[in-house]
Amino acid sequence: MPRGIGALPLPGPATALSALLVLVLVAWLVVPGLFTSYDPLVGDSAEVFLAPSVAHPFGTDHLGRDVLARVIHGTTQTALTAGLAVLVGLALGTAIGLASSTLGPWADAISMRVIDALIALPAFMVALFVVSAYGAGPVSLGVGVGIGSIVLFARVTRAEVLRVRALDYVEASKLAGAGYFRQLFGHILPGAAGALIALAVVDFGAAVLAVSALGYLGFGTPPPTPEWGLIIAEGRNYLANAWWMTSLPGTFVLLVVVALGVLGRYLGKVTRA
Amino acid sequence: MPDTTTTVADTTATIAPALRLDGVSLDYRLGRKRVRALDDVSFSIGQGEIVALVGESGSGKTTIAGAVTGLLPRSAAITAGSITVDGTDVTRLSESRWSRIRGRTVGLIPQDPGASLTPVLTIGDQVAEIFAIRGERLGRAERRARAIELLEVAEVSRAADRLTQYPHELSGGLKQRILIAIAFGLNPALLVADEPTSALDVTVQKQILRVFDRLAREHGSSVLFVTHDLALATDHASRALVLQRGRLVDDAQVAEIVDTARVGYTRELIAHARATQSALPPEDPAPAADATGTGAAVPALEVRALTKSFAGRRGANATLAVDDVSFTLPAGRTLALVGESGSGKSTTARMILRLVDPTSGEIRLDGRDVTAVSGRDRLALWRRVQLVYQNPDSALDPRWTVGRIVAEPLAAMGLYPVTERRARVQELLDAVALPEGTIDKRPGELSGGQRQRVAIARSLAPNSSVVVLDEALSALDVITQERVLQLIESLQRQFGVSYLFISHDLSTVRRLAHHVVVLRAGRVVEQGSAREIFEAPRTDYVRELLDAIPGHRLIAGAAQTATTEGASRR
Repeated sequence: MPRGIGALPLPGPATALSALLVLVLVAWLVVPGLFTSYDPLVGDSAEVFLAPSVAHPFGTDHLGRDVLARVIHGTTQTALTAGLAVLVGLALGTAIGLASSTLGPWADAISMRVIDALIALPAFMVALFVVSAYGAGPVSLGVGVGIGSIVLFARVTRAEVLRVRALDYVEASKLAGAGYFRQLFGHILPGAAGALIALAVVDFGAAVLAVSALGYLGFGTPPPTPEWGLIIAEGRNYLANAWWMTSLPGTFVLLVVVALGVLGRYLGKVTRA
Repeated sequence: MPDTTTTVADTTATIAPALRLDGVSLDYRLGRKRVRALDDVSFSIGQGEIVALVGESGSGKTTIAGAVTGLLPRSAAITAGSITVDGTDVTRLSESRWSRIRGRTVGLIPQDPGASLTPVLTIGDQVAEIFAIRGERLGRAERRARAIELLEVAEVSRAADRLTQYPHELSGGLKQRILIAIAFGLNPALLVADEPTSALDVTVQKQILRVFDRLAREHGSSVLFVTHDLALATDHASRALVLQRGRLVDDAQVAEIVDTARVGYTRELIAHARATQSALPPEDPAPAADATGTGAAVPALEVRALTKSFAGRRGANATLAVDDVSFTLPAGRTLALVGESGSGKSTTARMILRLVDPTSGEIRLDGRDVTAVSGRDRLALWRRVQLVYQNPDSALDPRWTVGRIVAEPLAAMGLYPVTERRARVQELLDAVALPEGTIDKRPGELSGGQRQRVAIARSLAPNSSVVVLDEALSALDVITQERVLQLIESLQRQFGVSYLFISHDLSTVRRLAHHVVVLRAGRVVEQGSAREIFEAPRTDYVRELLDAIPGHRLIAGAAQTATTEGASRR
């Protein structure tokens, strides 16, 4: 099967828009100051509860802070926490998946039963558990959410490794004298990487949602540091007179999660082509 | 003996042809690229005519079969021309219109019988769908009786019992018979058979095609018989269409093709088919002329009373996959392990490579006992014995460059200093006649034949003395097959490699092997020099196998030229 760039399935309009949104997010993450001139922490008391306008596209909050500025500056906090979650899930999940698929029937039986037990626990509850045990904060939040996604990564890794390992070229590598690690890092992991990358993108979206949700409940970064969940939570009390404080950041989070899902699905298709 | 000369093409000239393609061009969209699959193809099939569509892989024959049955992938687009089936224009039909035409007007006998029966329905249910499609309301008893009748016509054994069975309980040959019964049961105006027997053993292939020939004759069916095998085409069709890279290059009566093909490409195909059909087995030079020059005639590989039993499921008896197999492969020679699927030939090879543990017996490589070698000790063994897989697509990592693939044994076994490896790889690629610059390409950029050459180069990299060719030619089309075969022969002369050639295809075995071991159900049925096996088989089973090789008409049609050619060949 030709693997040239020209043979890739064309991204549709939804994929293109999603990619654009994710690029914007990356830019906000790196240089938030370029996209807004307002201070996310200090408001102007003369400008409280201003409805969305050209000057303040997302309006202002009860302290007169620009909500869009808080969303832009909040990207760092939310994305890093979600990124930590994905990293935890990816690292531990891949390790468990690899162990179960390559270290023999005993390792497989034990690690898969552990995974079955984890499946039985709702991921959100596991995250809550970790956060309440180790105290609120971005690190425990990230780890907590990440533990929930170990299951996904472990199962996908296992399935992919079993698929790749059955291909003739892995056996050929063994006949060529390659040992366990040479086969693993030369053929098996690169073969499985595509599916894992696609999953990581989708999972990042899910982690953003989970981090925001826990932030909303007050388990994340303490105020006034902007974080998406916290921003939405702050607007909760003013829903009646300032709908934009919750609705606009909330819609934005929703769009981000959908965009990451679309992009992940596209990557999955591309890597399997 | 199939008799296909009694088709009735001439008597029905005034009726609309069963199939007509008029200047059809078709593109596939691959990302941003458009790839032309068919280029201005025109032909027609008269009522009751059996026409073979022959071509190498990638020639567009499966695309034509797909276009005629409305089963093309979404990425295909007919850009010009029209397709007419039994008077109906089907060029741009919607899926719902197709579903009314498929089965009734156009029938399909697919390549893979396993994937074409629904696994969750009994055979009886699937055969009974015919009556529903035909709109016949039958009582339960009558439906059963008619279904049994249909299966019996297709010579399905124990037809009544089959009705309650599921597809996974049946062999590939039986499944194909059932699909043939279903296809003929609907009595379509046109029947498309897409490589109907390429997944089956030769003896089964022969029986199935006999049934197919008889049914086609009885029903007066018009058939488009798609195949890569020219010998099969000439045996079973009255007319042949030859495709090359999406263009129809020849359209002629089989009788005419066999005697005097006018088109160069057809002549080439015929010549290749005949070369494998009528070649004499290579003569075994005296053992004194040992290519390895070791003097003492130590065989490259010796297998004594090799047995492998697989433990049965709870309660069931253990099955003997390989039962008391012994043979000797002299250095610098080729020994063929021949047998149908399930005969134990692959298990034997995997035991020799020590990927599977033998239950008992002995394996000697260059005189040394390697039966008990295990774990990392097998490295020394794999320096001497290497394997070439059947399918070059899955045998090469698509992410690696050719240079890295061929160098893998060198890197993993620590052979050759790092700085000299690239030179060694280039030397190997030159030996297998791959073009300059291949070293930096990836498998996806190479053709099937080139990929198999890369796999052969890799197998020779550690200076191995025995190469196991596991059906290494059967995934390639005729002309590529012939070229790779010649390469394999010349590498043996050049490097003195010994080959263990595992194959179900007797015509390639005849070309390549000095010695032949015929396996059936794990046991050696007959073994001897290739000449003995092919010219004076001692057992009925081997005679049956030889008789099942297609191409009788091809050979008969050119008996005179073949004998003179055969005499001048070596």
